Amino acid sequence: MLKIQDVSKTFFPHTVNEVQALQNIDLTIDEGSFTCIIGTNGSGKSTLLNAVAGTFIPDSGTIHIDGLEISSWTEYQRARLIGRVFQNPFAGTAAEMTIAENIVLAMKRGKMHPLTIALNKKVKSEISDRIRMLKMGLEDRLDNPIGTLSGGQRQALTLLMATWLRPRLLLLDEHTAALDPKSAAKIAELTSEIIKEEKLTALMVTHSMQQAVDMPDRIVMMHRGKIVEDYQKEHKKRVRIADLLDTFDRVQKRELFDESVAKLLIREYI
Amino acid sequence: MNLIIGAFTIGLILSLLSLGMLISFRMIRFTDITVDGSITLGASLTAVLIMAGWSPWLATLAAFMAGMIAGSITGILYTRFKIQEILAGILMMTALYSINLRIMGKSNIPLLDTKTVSQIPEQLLLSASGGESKMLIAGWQVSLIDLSVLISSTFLCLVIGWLLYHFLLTHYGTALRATGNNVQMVRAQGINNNKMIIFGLALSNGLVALSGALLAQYQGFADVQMGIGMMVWGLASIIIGEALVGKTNIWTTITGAVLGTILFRLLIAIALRWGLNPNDLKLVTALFVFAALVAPQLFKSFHKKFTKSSNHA
Amino acid sequence: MEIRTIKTDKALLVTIKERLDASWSEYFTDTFLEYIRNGEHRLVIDAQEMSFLSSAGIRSLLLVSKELTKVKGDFRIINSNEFVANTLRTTGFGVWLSEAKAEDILPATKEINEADNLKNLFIISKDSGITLKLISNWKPWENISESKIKRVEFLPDSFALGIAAPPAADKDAVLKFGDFVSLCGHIVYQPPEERSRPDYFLPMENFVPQLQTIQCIYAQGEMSHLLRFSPEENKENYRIGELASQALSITGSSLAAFVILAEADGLVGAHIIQSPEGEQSFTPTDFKKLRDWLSFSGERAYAGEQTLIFGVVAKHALGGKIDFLIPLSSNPEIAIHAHTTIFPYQTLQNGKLDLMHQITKFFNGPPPKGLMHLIDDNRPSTGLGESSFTRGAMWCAPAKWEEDNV
Ligand SMILES: Nc1ncnc2c1ncn2[C@@H]1O[C@H](COP(=O)(O)OP(=O)(O)OP(=O)(O)O)[C@@H](O)[C@H]1O
Ligand SMILES: [Mg+2]
Repeated sequence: MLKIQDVSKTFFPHTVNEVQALQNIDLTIDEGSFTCIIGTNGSGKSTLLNAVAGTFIPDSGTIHIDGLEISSWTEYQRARLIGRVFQNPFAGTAAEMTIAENIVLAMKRGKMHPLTIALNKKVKSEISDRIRMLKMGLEDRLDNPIGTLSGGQRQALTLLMATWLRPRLLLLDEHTAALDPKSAAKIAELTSEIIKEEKLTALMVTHSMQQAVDMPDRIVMMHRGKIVEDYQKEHKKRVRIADLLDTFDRVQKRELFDESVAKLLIREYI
Repeated sequence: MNLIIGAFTIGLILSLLSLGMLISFRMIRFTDITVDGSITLGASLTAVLIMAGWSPWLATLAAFMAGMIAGSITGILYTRFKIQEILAGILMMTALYSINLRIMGKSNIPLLDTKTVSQIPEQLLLSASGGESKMLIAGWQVSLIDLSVLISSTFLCLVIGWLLYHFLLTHYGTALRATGNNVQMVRAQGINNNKMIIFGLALSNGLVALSGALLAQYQGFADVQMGIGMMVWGLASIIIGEALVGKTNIWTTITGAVLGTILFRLLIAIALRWGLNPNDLKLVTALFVFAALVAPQLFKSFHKKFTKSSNHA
Repeated sequence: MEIRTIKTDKALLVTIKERLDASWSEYFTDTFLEYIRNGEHRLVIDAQEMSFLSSAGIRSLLLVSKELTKVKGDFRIINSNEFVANTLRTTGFGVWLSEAKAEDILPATKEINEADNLKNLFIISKDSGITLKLISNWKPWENISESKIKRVEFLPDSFALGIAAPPAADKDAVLKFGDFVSLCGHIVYQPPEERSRPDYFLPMENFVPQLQTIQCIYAQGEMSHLLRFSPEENKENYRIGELASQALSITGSSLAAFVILAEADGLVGAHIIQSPEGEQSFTPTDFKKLRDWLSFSGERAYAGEQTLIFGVVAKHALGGKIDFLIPLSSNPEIAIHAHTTIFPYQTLQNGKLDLMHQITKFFNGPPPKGLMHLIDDNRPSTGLGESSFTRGAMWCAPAKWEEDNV
């Protein structure tokens, strides 16, 4: 479904600040699967999602969705296939516009009739029917500016907007990280529910090991711009939080294994 | 009375400028300096076309189109060539100065005894008054010509305000407003934000040029200098309007801009009557806008200090 | 709730004030387990000012009491008021109550205490000693030929360390060689993969665990001494080099075998993560390649866990088999080779410990978490140093090499 082939991205190339954010990433995501990406800070998780979403064009490599080569598409063109929720709960909605106005944009994603009036009674009742499932009482506040809502409520709406027109791919970048624990749990639950119900293909970045173990059916671990671990199928089912932490440790251990360690071991072990 | 009618008329004409700037400054949040050039563009093009014998309506429409083109170029400079918004505006404004001179062939064109868009109401009024050129309204002598301009500009203002209101409620208009609010969200909804910015600037400058076209017909001349400071005037009007009516929804924002412009013109007329040197007008306006921009911040920090000290107590 | 302690040389007297209920029970348990961990195995609770005791509180007391039973410690509640006493009696825990006053109860345990405090060094059997054999002597990364592989049985009176593979089910299966340590016939073996946890093999009635070794130092015999160590005023931890050189001086020998069972302060070591097989074309010049062969702890690992070590130490000038013993940078006079396995923490009883008993206890508990060949990380400035321990026990015995290799 999603096929990332040999994708690399270097920020500030040929300078002291050079960061190889993605190094020859290969990743294939199956239709209807739910994959979590975990990894230390700066390991390139967001960069990978951004490459898929088209926030920037990678230095090399190709990205296919449904066999379509989308590497050269712009971000808004890809948005017709991809729904996104960002870490910042304020990033996914336009604060000064009303709940209904925000949602109506998502309802017509990329295929609007420019000059018809966006909101009428029928559309509004469709909107309130749908957001009733959030059980947040927002269906009665359709004409309030979205900026008056809490971060958790906005994130719930963003999630709903991203999935309103069943996207081919759903990208979630630490979308619960900026919320208080209770809201985070609620959004996580909502996410699982929507993904399951709509049978979405989803790619989620998280720092919560609990979420990584509980929610997806595949876990991919990144480190320094590379995929260092990939738990799928039976392996994923077996994984516990302790295993993930172990894997982190191992990856970091390997990181510490430098030339001086090699010399030491040649002297002391061999 | 003439003073009031004059202020009203100019206010209504310039409210089209304010509406245009409402789109660029408030909806897509683009600090667009093209305004100073495109209002002159509208004025000069209409003047030349009317002089060349075009129907004033067609000439006005052409001015609107020309304004749209100017706005789109600023938009393209910004989106395609990644030039900062202020600089893109300045480039376009500077280029327009020469273009306007080219269009007119000299630095100003008088429009004496030519047809204007207010012809129809003028004729209607004339036939109603039986050929008198003045009319008595509430005990005041009012020039029929002035009255007819007032009527036609009110009419245009209503029509355009109404169209704008409905446009902003369409899908396209909603997307346009969202673009100024949160670009990231707009892109995520599959909308080409660059197209939105270009279109917004085109519409904005189209309205500004329209306002210039009407202004030239009302004043009876087009001058290459007439645009200087118009952007600040427009901004002042918008700010007054927001203070007056608020900006809770599209309807209030639009009426606010119109009423703000009229009030602003009235204030200026009164100030001039009281002996304000016309040369100081722009300075006073600039100071006013400065005060309006800074006041909310001052108020906020004052408020903070106040609450802090009361917390300590 | 408020907890206050008075340490006498005989016990730790703990005064509990106010309520011991659900909201305090966890804190109470943690505090007390920490006392036990720090070696306080005689606890007396003064309950005079304890105003309330709930079921959750009783559960905490029970946890503490169980932990103390494991280490043959002692647990009493004195000065209890009517309410507390009644609660304990009606719930069947009246046995904890003691009529005694704080001053009285201490002498009651005096006898055992004296035994405890007599000395930190115990002589198990003066005459015992260990015979060392170098059964197989592969050195990384030589070729492995059939003849290098030796099948070894690990008898109940043996200790061993080295590199080996579990016997394969059928002849053609590839042997996976990894680091191992064996204590009294109990083997812990680290499969040569980064991901794997160590495997272990226990002796059963008719079953003697075996391995196919390519490198094996095999020790047979009985330990002669036991040394207990714990933090002292100016000494917070013990380096393995210090303990090993103690082993030499205690046994008065220039070659000794030792087993350490101790709480780790930090372990530094490595283990094989890729089984050496057949022809080795590998020469360790490229550190990135070595990274695929060995996993290095990279930090002072496993702090607070219980380590079980077998090692051999020798005065330097021995020659011959010294190849497999590596000089310490902190004390170049001696050379050691030690493998450790790591178990989740369990409190050790104070005083004299029985080695066999301890080993069976640990192997029958939660599985080992790791296995390492201990390394003295003497890299200048960035080095992690030697492995060290906070408290524990070391058994040791003089050793001698048996001349012919079996
Ligand atoms: N736009 C950018 N310009 C320059 N460097 C960038 C940019 N985006 C990311 N980087 C760098 O690329 C590396 C990978 O960043 P990325 O945001 O993908 O990490 P991440 O795995 O998402 O981390 P986190 O868990 O902190 O979100 C980092 O070193 C970061 O500094
Ligand atoms: Mg990130």
